[in-house]
Amino acid sequence: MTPPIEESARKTFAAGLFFLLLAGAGWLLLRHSITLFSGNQMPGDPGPFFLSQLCLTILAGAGLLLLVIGSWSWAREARQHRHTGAIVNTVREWSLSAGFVLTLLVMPAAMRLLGTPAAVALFSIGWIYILLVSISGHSWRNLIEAAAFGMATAAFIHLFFVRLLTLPLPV
Amino acid sequence: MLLESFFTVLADFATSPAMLGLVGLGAILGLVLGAIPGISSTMALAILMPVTFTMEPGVAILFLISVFMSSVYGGSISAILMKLPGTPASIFTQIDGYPMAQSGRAGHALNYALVASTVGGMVGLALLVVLAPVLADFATNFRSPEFAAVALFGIVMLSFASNGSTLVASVVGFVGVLLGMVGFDALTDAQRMTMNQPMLQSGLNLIPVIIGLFGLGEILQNLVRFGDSPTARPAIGKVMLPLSELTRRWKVMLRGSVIGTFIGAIPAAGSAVAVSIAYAQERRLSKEPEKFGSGHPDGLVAPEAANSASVGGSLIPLIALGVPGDTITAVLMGALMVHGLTPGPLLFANDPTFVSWIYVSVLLALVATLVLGLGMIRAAVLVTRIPPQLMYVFIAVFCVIGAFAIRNDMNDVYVMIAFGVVGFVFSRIGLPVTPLAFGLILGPILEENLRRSLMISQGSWKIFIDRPISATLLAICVLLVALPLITALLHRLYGPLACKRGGKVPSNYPGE
Amino acid sequence: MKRRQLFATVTGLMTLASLPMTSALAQDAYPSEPIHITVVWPAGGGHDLVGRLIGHELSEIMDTAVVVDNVTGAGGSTGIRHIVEADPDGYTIGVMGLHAVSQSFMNPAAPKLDGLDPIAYISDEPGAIEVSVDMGIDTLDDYVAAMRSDPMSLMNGNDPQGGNSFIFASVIPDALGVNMMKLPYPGHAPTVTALLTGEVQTATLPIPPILEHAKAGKVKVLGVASDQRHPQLPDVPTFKEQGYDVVVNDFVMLVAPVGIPQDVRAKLEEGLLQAINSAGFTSAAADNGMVLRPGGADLAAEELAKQVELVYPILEDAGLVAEELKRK
Repeated sequence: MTPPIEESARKTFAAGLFFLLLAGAGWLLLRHSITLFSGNQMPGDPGPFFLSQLCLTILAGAGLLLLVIGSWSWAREARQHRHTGAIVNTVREWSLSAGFVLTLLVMPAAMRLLGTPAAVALFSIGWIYILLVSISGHSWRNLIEAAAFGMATAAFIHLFFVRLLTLPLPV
Repeated sequence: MLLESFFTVLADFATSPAMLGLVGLGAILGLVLGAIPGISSTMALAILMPVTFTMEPGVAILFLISVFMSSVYGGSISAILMKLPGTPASIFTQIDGYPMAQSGRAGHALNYALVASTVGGMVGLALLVVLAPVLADFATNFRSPEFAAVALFGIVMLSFASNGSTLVASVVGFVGVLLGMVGFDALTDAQRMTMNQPMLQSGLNLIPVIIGLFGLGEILQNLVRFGDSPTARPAIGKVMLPLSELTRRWKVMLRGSVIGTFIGAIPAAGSAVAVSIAYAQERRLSKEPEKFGSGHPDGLVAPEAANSASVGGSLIPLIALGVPGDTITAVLMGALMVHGLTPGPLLFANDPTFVSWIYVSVLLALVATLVLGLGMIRAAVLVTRIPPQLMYVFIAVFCVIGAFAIRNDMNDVYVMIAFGVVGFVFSRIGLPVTPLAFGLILGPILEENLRRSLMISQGSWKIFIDRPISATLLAICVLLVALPLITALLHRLYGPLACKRGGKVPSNYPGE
Repeated sequence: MKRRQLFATVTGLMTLASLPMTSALAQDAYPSEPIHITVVWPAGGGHDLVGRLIGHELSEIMDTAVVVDNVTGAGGSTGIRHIVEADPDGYTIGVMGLHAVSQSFMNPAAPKLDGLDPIAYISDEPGAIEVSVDMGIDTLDDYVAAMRSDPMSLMNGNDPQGGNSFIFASVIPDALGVNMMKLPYPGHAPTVTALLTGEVQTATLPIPPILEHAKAGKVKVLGVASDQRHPQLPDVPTFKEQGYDVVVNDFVMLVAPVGIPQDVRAKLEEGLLQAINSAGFTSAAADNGMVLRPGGADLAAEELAKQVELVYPILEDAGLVAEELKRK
């Protein structure tokens, strides 16, 4: 049987594991919610947890299936051990994306602390510069370009969203 | 009588430069606001409502309708150029529109979207004018069991509408259904999967989820190995589309429009359901379904037509029953009330001129959007020339602001980021992303109506078979699921007969 | 050429953006910035209408921009939290109703009511019971008779647990001595739709969402649960007139976070009262079916306390009060 995800055993295995983990996490969360629920249920109503439990069951079943298919075809494939180098490489490849996510996660707090324009300016200048550096290396020209466009972004956000549309963004 | 007053009002309009100017202004504002990532049609209306305070009620409605109609197309611009769907309906615009733009056909994609959206709007309007009573009748036959059946029908259609494995797509769809249940239950107010955390109690709003899943997910994907090779910017290519390319797709447009009008007319189903069914259906009928998702014009044209047509549809419950069909008509209704006109059966029954006024407003708004939209395409495609290092940062900032703005809640920013990561991880392990969004749209509709139906029937599942419309829909669902299984079985028994349909195609993201 | 266009665009944007800033020059006097009215329900609903109408009047009275923010989610709790956590400087106020009282008992994570400072009272929203005209029921007595003979014959559409029409659907049948089959719908508009399409036969909605349908003769209002008849429906008798002693209502009031400086609070209260009493607001609100009873902070606080005492036992009976929020 060919692995259903892009015919890759590794990916099928990963997807199976992912679904199983998700089902497990969902089940834990749901169990907490069930203990919390004290309201009444209408006669006939299968209840507020019926469909979520059904989904979790399907998820767990499908996860298990994919896991089995994945590991089975993995075992059949000539085992290619990935070099440590390859793993290091993956980490390096993902570093920009990971850094991007981490700085985004700081954004809401930064917006509250510094105000939206300042937080947006810092984020934009920093990231435009980092991306420019990874294309053409460090240079003052890049820094100036980053600063100019970063400030422009912040100014636009401030003028358009805060001033003109008066969204309740922290200032 | 209605047609007569329609033409009288139209003649009045067409000869009044002030009115035409106002329509034009509304259309420009709608196009710009709609095209700015993070501003949905509903928000555009709410933002501009104060501007109309000093206007006459009729004039205000004209203005707001042109803002609304043009913002529907405006939303497609950011979906096509930046993969940022600002409304649930433009998820489908993005699936085939963004790959088109990335391969140097941004102008074509925008043209397809604009023309399809105009045609859809016109068909929706025509059906509204001619068939309003019939459609209203059709719509009122929809009660909880039918809603549940439509939602199930949509889920089944969509699990077949995904490239790659149907099993995997359906499971991802169920993840979406599950995620749609986070927060308070709409029927009992029970908390689900919230751990008593305010952030989870708010539930996962669709807009931050799709902004993260598609917009941010795409950036994170592009940041992998960023700078290793010179990033090629797509060429602008030809902006204008040969007319023959458009007329060739009249069937697709017409099908999308009819589906859009009918489903849009069902109160509470809304454009998102209409658009998803139109897309799934077009992919089933297509001779090259495997090309859907990598820039097939039909995959763009059908949902755009349906989206715009559903506007006409959603006005039907408003005009025939006096109840809003979806969130956007609810805002329009709110605007009427601000002006002291409370929409109800009386307003529309006693005042045919007012109804004509609305119809004419929709018509003029469509024309204005077409004219101004065509003029804007040349400028809009320049967006694809912005260097990636700037583009990614701009989009990320818009993602943050847009996620916040939808409910003015900072927690939605975290939700957006989380789903950006989900989109990234999904594409890394080869899982399709769109079924997640389908599940999130259709899941809550399915659950609420399924359970309410069972309450009505006191727990008997027979209620779904006893009612003709829901029985028919369910029968089609069963057929849809069973047919591929039967063909597969015959295939096994009698060997490969005909050409193999479907096949392996990279999912939404450019693969590794 | 290009530069000149850019310059023109930028100056254009600047002038637009500086509009709300012009009043910011007089820094010391309140209000010198835009006032934000938080509405905890989506745009287009009843509270949104109140927020926008009041905002329009208030901006003229106070001579400053007034913005409506729809901060929605979690049954209204997200928006109420937004108000409670806002700076108490008089620039953030909100529209509030019964939902906040219910949530404060049902949801341990919802903000407590003592974080809110009632500033002005706008209206009572009396409960009522409506029946589809196809049922041929004209009075409460007819309804009670029909329900006694077959409780399942008439299903009632109402909010999920904790919403105002759910509270009405809990109080009214008790007073009538019948058992009501309560079918939940997520909001007033879907309930109206269900009543019109015939999925439910009765509803316990307040008057505004149903007013036009009652006037059009699609829906019959059997009774209003207030002391006086509804001003927009003078022909509909109250419950008391028909011999059933029940008075129950939702309310609409304006609240602010606790801790606003006294002078600012006084100014705000005065401005809001003027806005509520303005001709523009009263006529639009009355047309929409609201029962106006304008009042200041004292009335608002008194009404809020009254509602808390009314709602708690109902929720407790229904088993909806969260364990840690139960009164000892």
